[in-house]
Amino acid sequence: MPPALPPLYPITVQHGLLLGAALFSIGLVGALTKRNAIAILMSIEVMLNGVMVTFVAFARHAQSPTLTGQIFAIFIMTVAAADAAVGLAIVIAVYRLRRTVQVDAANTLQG
Amino acid sequence: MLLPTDLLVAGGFYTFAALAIVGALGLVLSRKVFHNALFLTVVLGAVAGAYVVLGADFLAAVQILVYVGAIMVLIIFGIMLTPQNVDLPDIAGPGQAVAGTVVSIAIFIAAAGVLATSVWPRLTSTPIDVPTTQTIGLGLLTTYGLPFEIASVLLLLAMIGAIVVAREDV
Repeated sequence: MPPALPPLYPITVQHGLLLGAALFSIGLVGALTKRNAIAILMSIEVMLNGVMVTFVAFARHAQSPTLTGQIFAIFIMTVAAADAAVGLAIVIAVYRLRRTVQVDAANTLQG
Repeated sequence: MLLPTDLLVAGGFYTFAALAIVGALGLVLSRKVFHNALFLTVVLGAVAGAYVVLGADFLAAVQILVYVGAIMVLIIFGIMLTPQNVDLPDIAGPGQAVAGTVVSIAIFIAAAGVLATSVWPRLTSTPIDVPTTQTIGLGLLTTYGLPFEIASVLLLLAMIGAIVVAREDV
């Protein structure tokens, strides 16, 4: 059997890693510059998605037979669900206290 | 005869990647928090598509179910429960905005430079056997059994914690 020809338009591991890095950096811009607490939470979800794309790209190309990268991504998703639930509960509690969700308003602990 | 598979894979990956990046930029640049939520939905859906191209079929389905189905509903509930009486601009002051953007771009350039110039050993391009569900299920119940149990405890604690924190009369 002849060796398989190299793919015509190969998607290498770098493509997936670049996408992951781009999503992470864009999410970081949002997390650092937004004032609305819910918008910051959404930016953090984008960052987590960038990390998961990185893991899935490694799982696709490094090919451990146990798919460790994809299992890691599932655990990241679990933690993301937990942080969305607790984070939004905190946002609602802050809203009750301060009547706003701007993070600048929650500065009681600021010296 | 359909398109060759390689072309389909490459085209799909670039399409979903472009969609994800456009959605993420829209999330960062749009001012209204509900528009942010809609752009986040675009990002999550596009990432699910990229998972399909990268051979993670189970993860793509879970991404749609958990992120688009559950977390987005939660976020939109959060937006609806906290009326957005905007008295401050959504973006922080110019100093913080410039500093945050510069730091993020620096991190991206550093990461992109490293991963573009590194040599990755022992990488193959043979596709993953799909469906991956059986392999993932076996891994979760054997090698990763303890993390799996800890994750379930974490979810329980997050649920109880969210109820306690958000309760009306404490």
